[in-house]
Order: sequence, then C-alpha cells, then structure tokens
Amino acid sequence: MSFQDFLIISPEIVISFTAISVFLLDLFINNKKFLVNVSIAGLLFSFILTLGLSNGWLIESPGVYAFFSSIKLDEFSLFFKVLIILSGVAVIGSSGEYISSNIESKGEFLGLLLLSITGMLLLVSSVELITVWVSLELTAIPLVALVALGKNDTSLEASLKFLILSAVSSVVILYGLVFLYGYSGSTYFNDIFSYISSTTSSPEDLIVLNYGLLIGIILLVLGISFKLAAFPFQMWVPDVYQGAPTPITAYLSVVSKAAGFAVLLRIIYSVLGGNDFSVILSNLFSIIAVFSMTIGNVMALRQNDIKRLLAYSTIAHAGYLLIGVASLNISGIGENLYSGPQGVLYYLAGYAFTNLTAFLLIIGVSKSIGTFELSGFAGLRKKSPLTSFVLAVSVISLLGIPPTVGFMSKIFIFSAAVNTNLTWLAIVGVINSVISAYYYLRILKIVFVDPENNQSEIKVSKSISLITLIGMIGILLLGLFPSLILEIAEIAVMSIVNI
Amino acid sequence: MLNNYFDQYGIIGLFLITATLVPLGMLLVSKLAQYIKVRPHNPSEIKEGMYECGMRVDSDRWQGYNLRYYYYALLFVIFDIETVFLFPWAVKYGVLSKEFGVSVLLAMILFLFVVTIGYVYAWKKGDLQWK
Amino acid sequence: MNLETVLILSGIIFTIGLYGSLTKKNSIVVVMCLELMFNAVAIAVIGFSRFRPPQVLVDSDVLSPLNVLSGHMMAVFVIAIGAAEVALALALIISIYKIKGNIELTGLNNLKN
Repeated sequence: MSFQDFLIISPEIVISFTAISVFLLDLFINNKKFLVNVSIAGLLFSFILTLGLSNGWLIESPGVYAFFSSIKLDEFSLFFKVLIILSGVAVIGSSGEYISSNIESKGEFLGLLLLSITGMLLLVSSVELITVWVSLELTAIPLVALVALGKNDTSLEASLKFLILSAVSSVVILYGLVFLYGYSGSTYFNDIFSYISSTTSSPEDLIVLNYGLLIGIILLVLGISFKLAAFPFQMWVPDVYQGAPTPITAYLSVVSKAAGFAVLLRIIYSVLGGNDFSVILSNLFSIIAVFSMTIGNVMALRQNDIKRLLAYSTIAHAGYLLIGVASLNISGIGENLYSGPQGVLYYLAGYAFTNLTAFLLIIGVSKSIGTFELSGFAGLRKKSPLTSFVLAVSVISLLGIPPTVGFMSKIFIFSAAVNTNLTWLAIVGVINSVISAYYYLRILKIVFVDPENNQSEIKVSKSISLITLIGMIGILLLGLFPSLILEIAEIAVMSIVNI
Repeated sequence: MLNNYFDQYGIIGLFLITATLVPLGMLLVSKLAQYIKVRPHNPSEIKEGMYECGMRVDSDRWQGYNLRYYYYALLFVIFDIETVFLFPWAVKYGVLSKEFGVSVLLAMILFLFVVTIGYVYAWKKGDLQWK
Repeated sequence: MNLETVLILSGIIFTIGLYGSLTKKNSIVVVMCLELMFNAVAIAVIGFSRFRPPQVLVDSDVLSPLNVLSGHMMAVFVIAIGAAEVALALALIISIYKIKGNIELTGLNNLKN
C-alpha cells in the first residue's frame, strides 16, 4: 500500500468521512439544514478530486491499480464516478425541503445516502470479486434502510419487501461469483480472463470448467437483474418506488441502475472478453431485454399513480439498455466493435438527466398538490407553465422524440443491435417504444389539455427549479450534440476491454 | 490408518457410555436411598413444578418478551461479528507487519474507529438505556 | 469427501433457503432462510478453496499467499455481511411489529396495484 493507493480512492474516502461526520453532527447539532450543506460540500469536494484524477493532477494517468490490484482507476470508472456523484448532488441538493418536512431522521437519511454513494463509487472501479460483492452490499444495505425512513407506514412494508428481494439477489450474485472463483481459481478479473482464454487443460476438464463458469455467469446475470430493475427480479420495483421517499426513488431509478450496468459491462468485457460465452450471454440478455421491455410497457399502461407509472417505465428502460448489452460483437471484426456498450453509457448519461428531472419535478409538484395521482396533475399548464414545460421535455425524452437525448440514445442502442445481427431485437424495441407512447402522451394530455380540478397553488422550491432547469438543458444539449458524451464513452469502453 | 480412524470413534463411544451411566447411576442411587429411608419423600406443588432460578413459575414459556431484549440482541450481533475480522488479523499480525509495516496496525485502528463511532451513535441515541 | 459432495450439500441448502425465502409467510422464517442461503454459499466457497486451490496464476502482480487464501477471505466477508443483512432485517421486523402487532408477510398489502 502506497500513498498513491489512497489518492486513487480519495473520492470514496471523502464521501465516507462526510457520511460519518454527518452521523456524528446529527447527534450534536439541531440545525438540520447545515447537514444538507455538509453533504453537498463533501460530494462536490469528491467531484473535484475525481476531476483531478481524470486530468492527471493527482496521479499520472488513469489505468492504474490500487490495493493489491483489487481497484482499478480507468476511464470507465471515472465516467461512472462523475455520473454517480453528480446524480447524488442533484438528489441531495433538491431534497432539502423534502427532508425537512417528510423525513424524521434527517441525519441518518443523508448519512446513509452518502454511504450508498460510496459503495457505488467503489463498485464501478473494483476489479476483484470480493471487492465487487462487498461494495455491492455497501450500496444495497443503506438503501434498504433509506426506503424505510419515509413517514408513511407503507415505507416499512416496501422496505421489508426490498430487503428480502435484495438479499436474495445478492446471495444469487454471490453464488455466481463463487462459481467464477471456484472454477478459475482466482478472484481477480485479469487472472480469471487469462485463465479462461489461455486454458490448456484436457477436453474433459474443459467441459467441467465451462459448465461451472456458465452456471456462475447465469446466476450472476440473474442476480444483477435485480439492481437493473429488469426481468426476472423486477417485481419489487413498483412497490418500492411507490413506498420509498421520492428522492430515494429518483436515486434508485438512476444511480442504482447505472452502477448495476457498470459492473455488468465490466464483467462481460474484462472477465469474459471475446470468447464462446458471448453467444450464450447475448441470447440471455436478449431474452431478458424482451421480457423487461414488454412487462414494463404493458403494465405501465393502466397505472394511475405517477410513481408507479415511472417505476414500470424504469423496467422498460432497463430492457432498452439491455439491448445495448446484448449487442456483443461476437465475430470481433468490423468497424463499430463496441457500439453496444458505448450506446449503453450514452443512454445511461441521458437517462440520468431525464429521469432525475422528471422525479425531482414530481417531488416539487406533488408537495403542492398533495398527491401522486396522475389526475392531480391536471391543468398544470395553467398553474405553472415553466414547470409543465420542463416536465414535458423530460417525458418526451423518456418516450424518445427528437431533439432530446432519449431519442438519440435509442437510435444508438437500436443501431448497435442491427450492427450485431440482432435486428429482431431492435424491431421489438421499436414496437415497445410505440406502446410506451400511449402512457407518456397520457401524462402530457393530463398536464396540457385536461381542465384543472383543484385550486392548489404550485410552488416549486428554488433548488428544485434550478436543478431541473439544468437537467432540461442537459437533455436538449446531449440530444443535439451527442458527440459530447459519445467520445468519452468510447474511451471509457476501450479501457475495460480485455482482448 | 482405518483402524486408527475407528479407534477415535471408540473413544467417543466410551465417552457417551460414561456420560449416560453417571446421571442414571445417580438417579438410581437416589431411588435406592428412598427404600432404606435415607431420603425423605413428601412431594409438594413447588417441588413438582418447573425449575426457574428458584423463582415460582407464573406463566407458560411462550409469552412475549420485552422488545428491549431484541434491541440489545441486535446490537450484540453487530458488534460481535467484528471479531471475525479481528481474529485472523491478530493471528497473522507478525507475518503481516513484517511485510507491510505499521500500516497493518493503522488499518485495524481505522476499522475499530469506525466501529467505535457506531457504538457512540447507539449510546447517544439512547439505545443502551433500559426505558 | 470431494468437491462434488460439498457442492451438492451447498446446492441443497441453497435451494431450501431460496424456496423458503420466497414462499414462507412468517418474516422471521424468511430471514432464517436468507441466512441458510448465505451459509450455503460459505460452504461452497470453502469447498472450492479446499479442493480446487488456485492454478498457476498467469498475469498477476499479487501476493501469492493472499491469493491462495482468497476463498477463506470471501467466507469471512460472507459471514460478516450476512450478519449485517440479518440484523437490518430483524430491526425492520421489530419496527413493523410495533406498528402492526404481527410479523406475517401476508399482512403487508397496503401498496396497491
């Protein structure tokens, strides 16, 4: 262990110490507004450190290992670290008012959220199985407690359901990791990769090895589908999204999903590389993608609670993203070798802007109208034109209409699928987008056309307005100039590929 | 090798037989003592009842416990499980410190520092009080 | 005793735990089943570590003794994190008991479809 090791994980260190000091300050300080400021300051400081790491101010260049090669700082992890920290800033920054009115244990709320962010930051940069699993649990366990912190008694119920499924999924992931470890003999991604690709055993040994690894990978993918909110572990999503405090719902739908995709992509490209497993994996992901999209979109059609509706829409989006994951270039020849994962990274960045904007606006609006029912949003246009415009932009981006980022990211994902001979999957995706138009346009109709049915005044707090405006600008900017993210995404994907 | 293996079971068998015979013998001696009028025999309700620390039993055993017990049990589980990290560290401290120097000690101090913060938190929150 | 027996034992325990945690109604029983699953995985990882020790490491700048024991280390982490998870579950169950007066999972249907 050298000093550089600590520099490499300095963003995580800063955030976890912020979390601990928030826990301690909460015991001795009554001004809870101060705690929010401390948390944001910690996140911003670690953001600066992350920028320093990527620009070479703190270390020579990305692509270095730390702590006995269990953590790797590369462009891929830096991409996700920036995404996660900024989403964390957006969630905490805009939920100050929500916390002061709806959450009883304010210090715990902020501290646990910061701990969960720490876990995600470690998760996206870990390249060793034990580290992966421990950081996975560090993200999951605080989240369970966070879901339980809401004031309504449905929170506890949602939290217990979340805990049981989360524990089951993490044990399934763990079983998968154990099989990977057991049959390859190492917990390090690079070693597993070298062992798989350069194995010189006898044919019988090879069959055993392949079956063992295959069981491990299938278990791993099934377990990770919980983090992605995808089929077959998708049933927790609507209940938990509805029961959890709304900032946590926003956090779950964006950050948790991004971290899940990060670890999935890293395992596919760093551990398995371009060998025979790719075919099986591609088929597996295609099936999961089709089921997730269809279940999400069809179930969303008849929802009247906006949080439940967005929950099902999240499942559908996990399906679209999995199309990009399934677009593995098996042959290893051609031009756009990694357009699939590149599209996934772009999609995730766009989805973070879009979904955070939508959810944070819902926090602001529902506080004024006092309900999450869709009918409560009727006549929003007359009461607050700016709010309804921003909401419209984010809904249009979720649906995928130009000039938003949602449109461009769907284009990239679907074209990646076509490039890798998965045209049928792209067609299923397009059909699903058409189905999803029904419920997204229904939101717009309620907001813009329906007459208002209550007289409540819409007052959105300044922080929410500011952050959602930035989000809207991001949606339009990334939609018009996709190359801003795409080039970074390409470098990021290249940094995890083992050939 | 195989003989040796079964010999070990033989020792366990001997142990089992002794463990059964001793209490049985004690009961038998006590019963015999009754016939030669050494041990008096006058049963009462308290003597026939369940033994519970010498107190009189006043309810079934399937009654609810105070929730406080569970809070203590939870805290105990959390702090108890830290031992699982302390133990291998303590056993291999000599080897590790030769390799990595003082940072081995610092790492464990950091770990215990975080655990202590958890303890302070629980204390300050009043979870260690019986209220 | 060989790797297969250990894996079969671990598989059986894991399946019992999985079945129980998805079907049982009493939340304490569900938590016990979760703990069964954690322990099944711990058995598997110890079995692997014992019967399939690390092969020749091709590309590694890692200390070899740490690498040899990584299975055991994994088991230690499984035990610790399993305990944390179960403690959180019990804390939640206590809170639910305080509000509802029972711990049946079937009573938890306030979230509507």
